[in-house]
Amino acid sequence: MKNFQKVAVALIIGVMAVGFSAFTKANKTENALVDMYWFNSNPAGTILSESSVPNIAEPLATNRTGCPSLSGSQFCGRGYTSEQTELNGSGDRILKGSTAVGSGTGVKRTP
Amino acid sequence: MENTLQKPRSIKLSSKTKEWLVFVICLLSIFLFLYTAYAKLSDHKQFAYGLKQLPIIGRIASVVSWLIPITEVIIAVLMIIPRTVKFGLFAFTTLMALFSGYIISLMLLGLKLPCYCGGVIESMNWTQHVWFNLMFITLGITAIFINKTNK
Repeated sequence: MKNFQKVAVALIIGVMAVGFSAFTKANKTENALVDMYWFNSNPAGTILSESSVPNIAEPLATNRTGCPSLSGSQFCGRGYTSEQTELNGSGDRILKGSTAVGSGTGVKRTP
Repeated sequence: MENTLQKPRSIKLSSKTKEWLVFVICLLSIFLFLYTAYAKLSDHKQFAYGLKQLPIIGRIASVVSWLIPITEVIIAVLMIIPRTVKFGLFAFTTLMALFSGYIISLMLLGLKLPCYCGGVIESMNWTQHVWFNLMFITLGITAIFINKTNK
């Protein structure tokens, strides 16, 4: 096979790679970036009030769906979308129906 | 006296077959790097965010998030140009070995982190990812070896 033929085939493969990549990206709907509001929670998933959270610089784990691997004494940050939260009368961001999941006001953390 | 010792059989490939093998490996490598590079560049924000979560790299994530896909594109181009195929293959194998070394070190540290590798490769778990990389490293080494002996 001559060199120019090799280059031509390689270029076709390159274009196919980009096309295939674009195609799979178009089909992918998961993992889209969303703005999250972070709330401190215990491993059971209960949202904690700001005053009851230990004075730590960062949560021990940040997991959107909770921190199932944490021990009972640890805390984690759980992320919620803006649709899952609302502003209360004081202008603090709280989980919708927060009385059901916890008593406290959420602490917003940037992911 | 008849010599009863038999020489071990070795697979002898013709020069043309070797050339084809190297070419096919190059095509696979080009496809892999351009596929993942495009995925990283087209979804750069998420890729950079994913890198920020990783140890060591996290601090320089903004630089690395551009450096990795651009390097992948450059290496793919090197493998397309016949004069630079040898260097491209060497760079490809080295970069894949670096990726694998990093993944293995994360696995040994017991860290469970999401993969932001681009495209369908993202759906692999860490173990599958290491095997996938090792397969390409083996192909790269094979191509380099064939290239060296096929002169």
